[in-house]
Amino acid sequence: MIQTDPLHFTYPQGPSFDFPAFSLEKGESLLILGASGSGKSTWLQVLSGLRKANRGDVHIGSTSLSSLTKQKMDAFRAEHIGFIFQEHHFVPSLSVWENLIVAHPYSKKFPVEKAKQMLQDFGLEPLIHKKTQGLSQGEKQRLAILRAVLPQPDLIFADEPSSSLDDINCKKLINLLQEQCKEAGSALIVVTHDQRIKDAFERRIER
Amino acid sequence: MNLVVLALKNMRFRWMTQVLTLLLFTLAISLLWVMHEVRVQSQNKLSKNLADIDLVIGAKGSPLQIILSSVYHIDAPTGNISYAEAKRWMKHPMVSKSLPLAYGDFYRSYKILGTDTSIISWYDASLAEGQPWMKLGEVVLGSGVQGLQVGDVFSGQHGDAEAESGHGDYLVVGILEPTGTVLDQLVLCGLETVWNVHEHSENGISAPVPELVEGPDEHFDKLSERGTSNPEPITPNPSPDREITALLLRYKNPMAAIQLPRMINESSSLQAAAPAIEINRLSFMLNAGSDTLKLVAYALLLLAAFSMLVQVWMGLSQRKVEFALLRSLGYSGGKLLRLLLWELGALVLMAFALGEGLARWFLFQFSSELGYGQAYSFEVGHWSSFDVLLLALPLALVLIAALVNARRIYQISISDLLQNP
Repeated sequence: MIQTDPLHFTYPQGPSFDFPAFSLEKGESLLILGASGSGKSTWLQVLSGLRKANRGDVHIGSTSLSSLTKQKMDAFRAEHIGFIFQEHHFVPSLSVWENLIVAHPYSKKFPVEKAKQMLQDFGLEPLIHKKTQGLSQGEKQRLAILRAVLPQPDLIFADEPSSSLDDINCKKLINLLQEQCKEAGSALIVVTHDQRIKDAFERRIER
Repeated sequence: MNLVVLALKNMRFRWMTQVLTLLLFTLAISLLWVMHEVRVQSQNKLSKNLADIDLVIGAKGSPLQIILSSVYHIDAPTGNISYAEAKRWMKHPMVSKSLPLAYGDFYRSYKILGTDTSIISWYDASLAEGQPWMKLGEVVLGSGVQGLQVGDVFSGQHGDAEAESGHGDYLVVGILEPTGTVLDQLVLCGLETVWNVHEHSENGISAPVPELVEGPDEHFDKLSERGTSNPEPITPNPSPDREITALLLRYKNPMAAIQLPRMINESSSLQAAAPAIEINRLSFMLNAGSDTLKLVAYALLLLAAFSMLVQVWMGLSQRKVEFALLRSLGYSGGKLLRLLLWELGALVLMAFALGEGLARWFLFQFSSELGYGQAYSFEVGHWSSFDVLLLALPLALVLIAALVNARRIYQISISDLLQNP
């Protein structure tokens, strides 16, 4: 699903980083663990095509990210990559349901029935017409995961997903994330400094 | 999700921040539309009503008042002039056509004007039904005169349109096709009819309102019996002390424009006034005021554009996260720019609709006050190229506001949502 060469990235007039090669298949998950300043977010940006490596390439499926123009990269990202951020951001003018629709790539038909079923499974069905500002932290978290996995992308990146959660909710979130990614057939890469989730991942790269 | 739908939802969500810009655009568009329409429609009406009148002769007084009263029928005349003296100028070799006018009574708010039947061809008018007046008491209605039809008999009110007392009886014998000129709001009859009615009035005999009659012939039989009006054919030789209100002239050659007014003003007790000169002077005075208002309207438009620019600039800072999120969902920089264009475009479209509606409502409501009565009411239902300009100008400002911010939009990245490296 994702396969990388050894990568090198240098910020203009800033630090430079080297990242090891790895590969990940459908349904597998990987934890990238490191302290602040270790370059893990830079790595995530390179892996998701937001920054281009000075050396080495990233392949998602059969596509080489270095071969894509900025415009094609936007389209590719919408089609193949999902994101989960530490802060659960949504489009504030839209309802829960519309936030799912707006996140769905144009090229794929929005799976209405599946979305309804998942909203029910996630306990969000009564809230579908509500604006996201009115949701609790837990509801926002579930909606963010649902939004990422619903289009069944090849790859899901989660950036510091558990940092603001207590131990119980942290464990619940990682379980839900891994479970949903497996069901959707998406590879999951979690980037964090949170040592608590270390044991939940069989594959880890520590920096 | 469709970009337009998303833009409209965003607009609805942030309506508070857009109210000021919307109001400024609405006011600017309204004001510009009203100023433009009042000016264009007034000028059109003024020039249409000129009807190739080269010179107006009236009693000594203000030339502008003579033009306003005799050509546009929106002011009181300066006085009466001797018909015998006027005839001298009607027969002058430099005059190709002439039309005597005598102010008569009123029917409701419509002026009864004694004149020659050639007034119909003078204004390129034609009869929609009936025939021109031929006998005393017969009248032809302008197309805008309400409440009467051919065969109807009515009483005029002397001097004041609001007066209730009956004064002279008239029979409607014809109705004109609409001309879009002041003729539409006049009741026309022969000079002799006006003189006849006023003669009776001066002698203390008030013509009674006729009883219901079967038709025109019966009416005239009845009027004859009473001796209040004479249904005989109009005689071409009136007595020498007859008076008219004004005389409209057309020149035979361009030299007349230089010589005739001077000759009249210097060698007679009459006042000659050239409509073109007086109307130019009037337009100049009016335009000075309307130009100032127009400047205010354009200033409002600029203010609206500035407000929009600030709104976008501040909005982008506040919406950076939202735009970055959309980037993460596959929205390119170009798509975000289009989203912004739709949001601002929808705002301008709304302001355009509100502005046009407000302006038309305003002109409709205040039409009679602004237009000196029914004769000069303004049309509010038409569209012109100026409406396109009123839409295009704010849209161009939207484009500028979006382009000024384009660089910032393209710089927004998913990285803005990620934790610091």
